[in-house]
Amino acid sequence: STNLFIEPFPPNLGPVPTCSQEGILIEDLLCCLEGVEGNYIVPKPLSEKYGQRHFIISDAIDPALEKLLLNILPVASDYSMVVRFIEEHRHFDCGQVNHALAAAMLTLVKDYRVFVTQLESLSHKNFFSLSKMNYYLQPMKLLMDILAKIASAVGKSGARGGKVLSLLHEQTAMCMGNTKSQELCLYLTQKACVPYMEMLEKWLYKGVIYDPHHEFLVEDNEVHYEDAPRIYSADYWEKRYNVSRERIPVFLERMADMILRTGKYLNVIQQCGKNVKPPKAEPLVYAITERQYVEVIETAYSFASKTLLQLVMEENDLMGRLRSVKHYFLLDQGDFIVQFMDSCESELCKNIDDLVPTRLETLLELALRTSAANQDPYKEEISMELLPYDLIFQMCKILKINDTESYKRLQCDKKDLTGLLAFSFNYQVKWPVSLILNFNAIACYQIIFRHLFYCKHIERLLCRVWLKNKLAKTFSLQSSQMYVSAFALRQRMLNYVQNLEYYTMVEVIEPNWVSFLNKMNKVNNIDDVLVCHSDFLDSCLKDSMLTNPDLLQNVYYLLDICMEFYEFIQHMGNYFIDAELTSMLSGYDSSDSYGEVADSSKLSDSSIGRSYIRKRIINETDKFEEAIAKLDQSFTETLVQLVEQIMLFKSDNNNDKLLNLVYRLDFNRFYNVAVKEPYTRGEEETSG
Amino acid sequence: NALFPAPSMKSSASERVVLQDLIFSFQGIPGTLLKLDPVSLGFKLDPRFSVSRPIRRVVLRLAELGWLHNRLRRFCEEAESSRSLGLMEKSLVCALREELTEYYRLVAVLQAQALQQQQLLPSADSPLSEEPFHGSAGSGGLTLRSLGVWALEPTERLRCLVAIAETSKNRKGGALASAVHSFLQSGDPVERRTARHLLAAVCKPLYLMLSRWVVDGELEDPYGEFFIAADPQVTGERLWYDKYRVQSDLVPSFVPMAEANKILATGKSINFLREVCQDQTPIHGRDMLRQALDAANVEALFTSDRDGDLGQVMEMAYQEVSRRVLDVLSGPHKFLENLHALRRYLLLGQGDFIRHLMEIINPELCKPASHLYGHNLSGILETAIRATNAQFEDPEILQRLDVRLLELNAGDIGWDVFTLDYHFSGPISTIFVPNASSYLMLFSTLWRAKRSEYVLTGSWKRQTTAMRMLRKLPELAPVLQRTHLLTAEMIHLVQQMQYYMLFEVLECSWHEMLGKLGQAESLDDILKAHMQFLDKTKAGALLDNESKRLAARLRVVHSLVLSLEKIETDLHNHALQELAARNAHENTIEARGDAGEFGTDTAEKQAYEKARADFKKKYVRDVLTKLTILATDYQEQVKNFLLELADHPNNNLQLLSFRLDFNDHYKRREPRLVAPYT
Repeated sequence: STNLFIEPFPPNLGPVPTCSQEGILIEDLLCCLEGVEGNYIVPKPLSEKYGQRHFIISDAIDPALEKLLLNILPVASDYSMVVRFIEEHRHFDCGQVNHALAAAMLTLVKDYRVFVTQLESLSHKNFFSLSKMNYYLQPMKLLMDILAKIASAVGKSGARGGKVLSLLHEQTAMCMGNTKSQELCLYLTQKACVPYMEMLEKWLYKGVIYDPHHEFLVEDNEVHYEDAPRIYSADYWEKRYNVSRERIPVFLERMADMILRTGKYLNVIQQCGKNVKPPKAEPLVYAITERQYVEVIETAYSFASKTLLQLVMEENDLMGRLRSVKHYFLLDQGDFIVQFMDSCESELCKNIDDLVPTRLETLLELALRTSAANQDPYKEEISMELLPYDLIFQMCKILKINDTESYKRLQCDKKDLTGLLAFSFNYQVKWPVSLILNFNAIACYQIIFRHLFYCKHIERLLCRVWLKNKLAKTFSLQSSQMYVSAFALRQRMLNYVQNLEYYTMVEVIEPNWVSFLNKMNKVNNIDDVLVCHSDFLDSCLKDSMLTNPDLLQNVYYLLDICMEFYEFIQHMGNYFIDAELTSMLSGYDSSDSYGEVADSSKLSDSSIGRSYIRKRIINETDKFEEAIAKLDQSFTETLVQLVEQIMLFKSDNNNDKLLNLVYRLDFNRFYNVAVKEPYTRGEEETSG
Repeated sequence: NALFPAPSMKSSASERVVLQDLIFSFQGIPGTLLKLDPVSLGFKLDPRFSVSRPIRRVVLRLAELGWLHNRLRRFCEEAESSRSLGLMEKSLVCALREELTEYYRLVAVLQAQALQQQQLLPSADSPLSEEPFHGSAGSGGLTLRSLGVWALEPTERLRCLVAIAETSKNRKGGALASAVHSFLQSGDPVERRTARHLLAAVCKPLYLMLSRWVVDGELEDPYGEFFIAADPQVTGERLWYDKYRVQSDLVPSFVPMAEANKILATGKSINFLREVCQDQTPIHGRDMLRQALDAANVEALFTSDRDGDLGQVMEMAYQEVSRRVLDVLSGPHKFLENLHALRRYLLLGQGDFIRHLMEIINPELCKPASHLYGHNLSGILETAIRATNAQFEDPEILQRLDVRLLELNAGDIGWDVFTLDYHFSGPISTIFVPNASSYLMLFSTLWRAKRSEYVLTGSWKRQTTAMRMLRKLPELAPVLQRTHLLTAEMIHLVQQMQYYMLFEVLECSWHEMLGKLGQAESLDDILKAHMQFLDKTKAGALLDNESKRLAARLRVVHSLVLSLEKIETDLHNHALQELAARNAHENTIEARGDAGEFGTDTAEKQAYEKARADFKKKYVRDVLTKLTILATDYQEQVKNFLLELADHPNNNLQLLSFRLDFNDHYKRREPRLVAPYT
């Protein structure tokens, strides 16, 4: 509405003498200082919302007076800006900080208005002039200047909440040199901080967010996962609360993380049904130097973290639970594992589709109660789980192998999955321990468990071959020589598997566990606990080669060969023991070829293998010696390859633990020197 | 030029007029210059007066105050004239009135100032004064400008009050409090203070009602504003469930729903104690509670920290009362004893009693249902109690135990309509009466299973005892073997089902419930635990919706058991007859031989031979056919039953199917049962 502002001037001032002009202008100016248009000084319409206001001055004014007017008018334009800001930011949507800022400005504006009325009464006295007015107005000019600056800065940026406080803080810091204006800024900032600090206090002392206008630096993304508590606890820590960067006031930037964690801890404590009573709740006040509130926040933080740590460590016995988890997942409880494998092996050797989970569960229960694990107070939490994929597939998926070919090779066919490969323990954890033993941590434990479990299984199979070996000793000298190569291979395989296990359990898990325990003695808060625990798991995974797909594949290929060897010997054993023991009575009969004797249905019955990753090494038509030689060759080659890979890997990373494994696997440099080169030649000689 | 009006020579006079007019307008009174717009309640400058531009601006700006005042006053007047004004609205209006009074005081001061100044400067009305506002100036005098400064604060305050008043229009009770409470969200300290003040006033009646409810359990709520409502129709055992409820739209936003429910439970418990339990003893700590409530400030109600003193006091009151309810229920009203009794008698926990009852009541129940008389059965029940360990039961509980005949259908026999019954009275009926039908259903299911077991063991006993005797009838051997096998098969199923229901389901959920009852803090906890127990047990006894088909199959199995029994007793009697006939025949021969006569003659021998052949050909074959049909039928039913079990969502039932078919006997005959489990 233009005509609201640019109404034409009332009668021309031209004819009025200068001395009288001054009186009229003073009156007009006083109007302008109050935000009312005068008769001869009229504001121009605004070009933008937070633009500077300009005035049109009647042209018939004495030029000297006009200059004086121009000196004073900026106060009026600043006033206009401040009032516009106040009116806009008192609106409900603008947030508490803006409300408080506007209210603080309003009190200052009131002082200003009183001052203007005082000027008015002065103006009625004699000898009042524009120059005097200019002089009197100087302190107000400073005030209005600062207010207008802040108003335009906040208004233009449309800032809310923490950002407003940041702007104010900067402004305060900039006024460092000028005591008066600094005091002023400090006043404004302190007032504006009041609602924010109230929120902060609630969060720090109670863990509650009361933030109707979304201004606070911590956001609550509360999601109700009522039917899936597992997911809930896995995500809770990470996702429930987070810091919104743009809402942090500059002066709290350093403390933001601490603030977030304090409230988070308090929240967890409350969710456990405990009441939190912080020792002393000091009010938080803004100050230009940080001391005071930093100390307050730090005490609140240390209180919260200590309380939660106590809650988790002592009342919920975290360490006890971790020890219990270690018993089962890291095969710490030897008698239990043996008992369990003894009872379950035949069941687990079936295909996953034929498994009866409840039967397994019962067997697990039985093993738990008949072994020393019965003493464990947390044994009820353990249960079993059948995963629809095997370990290699899982690891490759986790490590995100994009190479399509290897991926295809790994395509997991559920039909070939035996219970052994699918089996894993599971552990029920209750809040708040589930913060630490969350879904991911349990998954890591499961990975290690499955690795160890499979190795253990292969070892047990090879030990059965060893029994056959003992039996073969009773054969006649001539025929028992036939089996020497087979049993030499068995010895090397056993050496491999046992050393692999020894390495994983004694050289990787145990030292890591000990250092984990040491670290846990020194932790101060729950985040440290989380870090320690995930460090422990990470280093266990890494050192046991589970995170390196190349190494892992070779490790498992070797285990596969062992498995195939076992199947072969087991199958043949049925024949050769018969044959040999009877031949000792009725003379020598040449051993049958594998293919002819093999009763295919029986073979598939006893087949425990994992044939889907690689092709079988032995053909059905191979003779016994040929088969053994083939197995021997691929075993040795793969092992050599593995050793080389580890050496290579070692030169990339300075990982001394893996080197230990090399020393174990190849302790007498058998593979390195004696076999590596001459092996192929020697092979030809023997076969030729 | 009309557009450039000359400065009015009357302007100095008009300033006084303007000032006076403005002060009038502050009180809602139109003056010479300012005219009231009756619709918007705002003020307008009379167009007949020409006023300079700055003054017009200032005047219009100041006229806002009058407008705000008018709106506020109209709100108060309208509210007061309305008849259905609730207590909380009344106190809001009252508080607003107080604010208005305060405001009028300020206006009066202004008026005094204006008058004073008129008296001081009577000569100001001079036609010679050049400058419009000059005349009215004086140190400390009232000018338009200073009036503007004076009006700043009241304007702010009134603005806030009007906003609150308009938002709370047409709201009631808790909703009103919520509306006012929303103004506390402002960051402006002035606005917050005002809102807090008003809210305290609004909440005062609410607080009083709340205190009354929590301390005495009485609802004093003439205008229906409190967030707890009562239905006066409801009494007795439904009191706990239906009488009181939380009206969610009347719960103020600063009272969380959980808290509201606790408050409801507190008062409800007091009423429960008083009306249902007839317990008049004062509740421990009630005086303390009353004092605490009196001492606490109304503001504690809406300050947002829940764990403040008030919250703790409420929590304490809730716990005290709940504990009291539990004490009364389990003390004088023997809740736990009754629960155990239900378990012992209706859920067949007391084995010797149930067995004995079944034995002595069997002949009676085999009669048609219409021939049964309640008093006969009660007599039998009494006999059973006297003869077994049940006699040591608390007589009060034994009094509650009774028999009952269900509705008769044509052709029913006693077994179909008989049920044990348990009379509930007093406070415990709150817990049990809504579930009485569940108990009866469970009893009839368990009783039926028990009967099948009883019948089967009876026939097994007969078979075993008669085994040696019947060796003399070699032609009977295949029939006997068949019967024996079928009986064994049935016994297996029936016993496993009973084991499942009584031990796996009932005993486990019973144990679980006892644990929960031990930890229960309130009657609601008990009700919940009891409900869960019943639900689980019902699911286990195949009485839930998912198991309807299973239950039907099981019923067929039970009826097959009965038909087997029929065949078996028939067979047994026939066999014994035949045996007796043969023995008699041999005895006669022997006796005659001893007497030196011929043992038998041709006719007699032929008759005997014929009877034997008849027995062998007709009767045995007949029975064998019947048995075969029955066995096939039974196998079919069991297979279907197993199939249903495998499909059932409940894991425990799958486990049961392993037990029923432990040696894959049925699996081998039914390809559909071999589906994978994963």
